[in-house]
Amino acid sequence: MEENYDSRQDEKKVHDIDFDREKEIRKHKQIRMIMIIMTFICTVLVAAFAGVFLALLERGKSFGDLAESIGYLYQAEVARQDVGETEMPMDSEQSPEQGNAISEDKAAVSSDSVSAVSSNADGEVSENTAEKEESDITSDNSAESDYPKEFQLVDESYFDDALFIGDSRLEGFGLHSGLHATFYTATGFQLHMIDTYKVVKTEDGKKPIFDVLEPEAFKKVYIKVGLNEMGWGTDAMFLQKYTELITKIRALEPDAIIYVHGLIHVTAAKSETDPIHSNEVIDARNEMLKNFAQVEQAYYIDINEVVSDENGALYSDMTADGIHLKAEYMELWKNYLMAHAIVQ
Amino acid sequence: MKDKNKCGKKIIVGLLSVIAISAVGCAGKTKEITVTELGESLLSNITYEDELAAIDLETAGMIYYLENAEITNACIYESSGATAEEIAVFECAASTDVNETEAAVRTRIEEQKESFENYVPEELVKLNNAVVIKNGNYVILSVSSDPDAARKIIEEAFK
Repeated sequence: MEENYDSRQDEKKVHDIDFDREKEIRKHKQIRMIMIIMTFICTVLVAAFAGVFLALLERGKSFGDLAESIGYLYQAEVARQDVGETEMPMDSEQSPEQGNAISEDKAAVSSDSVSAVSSNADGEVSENTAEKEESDITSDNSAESDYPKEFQLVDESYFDDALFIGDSRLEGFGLHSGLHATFYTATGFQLHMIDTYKVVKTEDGKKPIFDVLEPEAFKKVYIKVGLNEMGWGTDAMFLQKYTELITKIRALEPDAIIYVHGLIHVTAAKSETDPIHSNEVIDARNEMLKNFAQVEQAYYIDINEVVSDENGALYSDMTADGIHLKAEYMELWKNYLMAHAIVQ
Repeated sequence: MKDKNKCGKKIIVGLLSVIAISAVGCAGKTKEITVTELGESLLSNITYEDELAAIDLETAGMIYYLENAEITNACIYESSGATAEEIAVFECAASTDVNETEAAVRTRIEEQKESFENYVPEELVKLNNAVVIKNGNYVILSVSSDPDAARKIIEEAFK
């Protein structure tokens, strides 16, 4: 009887030892599993961080730019919630073509930026009565009431009451096209400097555009910016500035048709040696501008159709530096604009 | 006899005065030039990086503030925007117009320096060596990589 008791006690002890060992093994396994998971998470984070860093480095941007961009998008999201998506023009005006374009990866990103910025502008309107009045002018704008209209062929007199705003390429067009339009253009002009950059010649020297622009002076406004800004900020910041520009123009020129001019390609040689201003980047920005123009109920025009070769590069004989069109080719540009005009 | 001497002296003084006035007049008179010829000479005898093209005086209002100057003739060649290269030959109606035009030309150079400073800084060399010559009713500007040649062409034109 006593022997049986001792034997059971021994068995119990052996069982307890086995149980403790199993428990310990299970604990070790759990710790190992946690460490593997932690290592995996750390690897993913480091890889993501490195990816973002390399992507920023490639685009010549910093983490500061990224943070600012996120800030813009956050503001836009807040504004979107305040205003409500039903008020966004893109929802009601979006065409099937735009929908298709947006389904493409790049376009989808661009379109998100565009709608976010647009709603951001609306959000600011909701906070500021004065700006709201400007927005009301915009929404009542007769130029937009039956948007979009079809392009028509016009003669040169169409441009007599047109204003062109832009960079050195557009200045070259102003000097050599022979059009009797008004050109507020300057070499090195960038959108984010619009309030301070001295562009317009006056008796008292050059002045910024909005120090000089008179109300109801123009019926058409062509804007061609974006190439010089490629080393500056992010797409969202660029579009934010573009939205501000259009809002200001519409407040002063409520009847004006707004044209968003796409960026002209550079030559293949220039594109290969300048990654910031490559044709790939230009195409991506043009896709973004195309969507942006629709959101803003403006008209996108792209003369690359007539100045680019089959590989999407500016013909090398049309330029001396790979960027600016020679004077003799301004006729092509002018004819393109004449064939792509909106008549109210 | 004394009267005859007095009369002779008067004639001599009078003649000298006429000669002196004529001499001063000749010295102050500038040779008249053809603005187009000088402009074309500056264009064809200097090598430019860009392809310069002629613009008219009205269009030049985009880049020169000439509202207060009466320009009778002008020959202006402009770059496509790629470089700061430029040729401008102005013939003014009067000396006050010359001063206004010269001021406009010098302002243009300064504005171009500001524009190109952060755009194509290499062009600042040409702008810093821009040739501005005022001669009689003419004001001439040449922005190129060969300012010595430009100066020589302009001086030759007025000989």
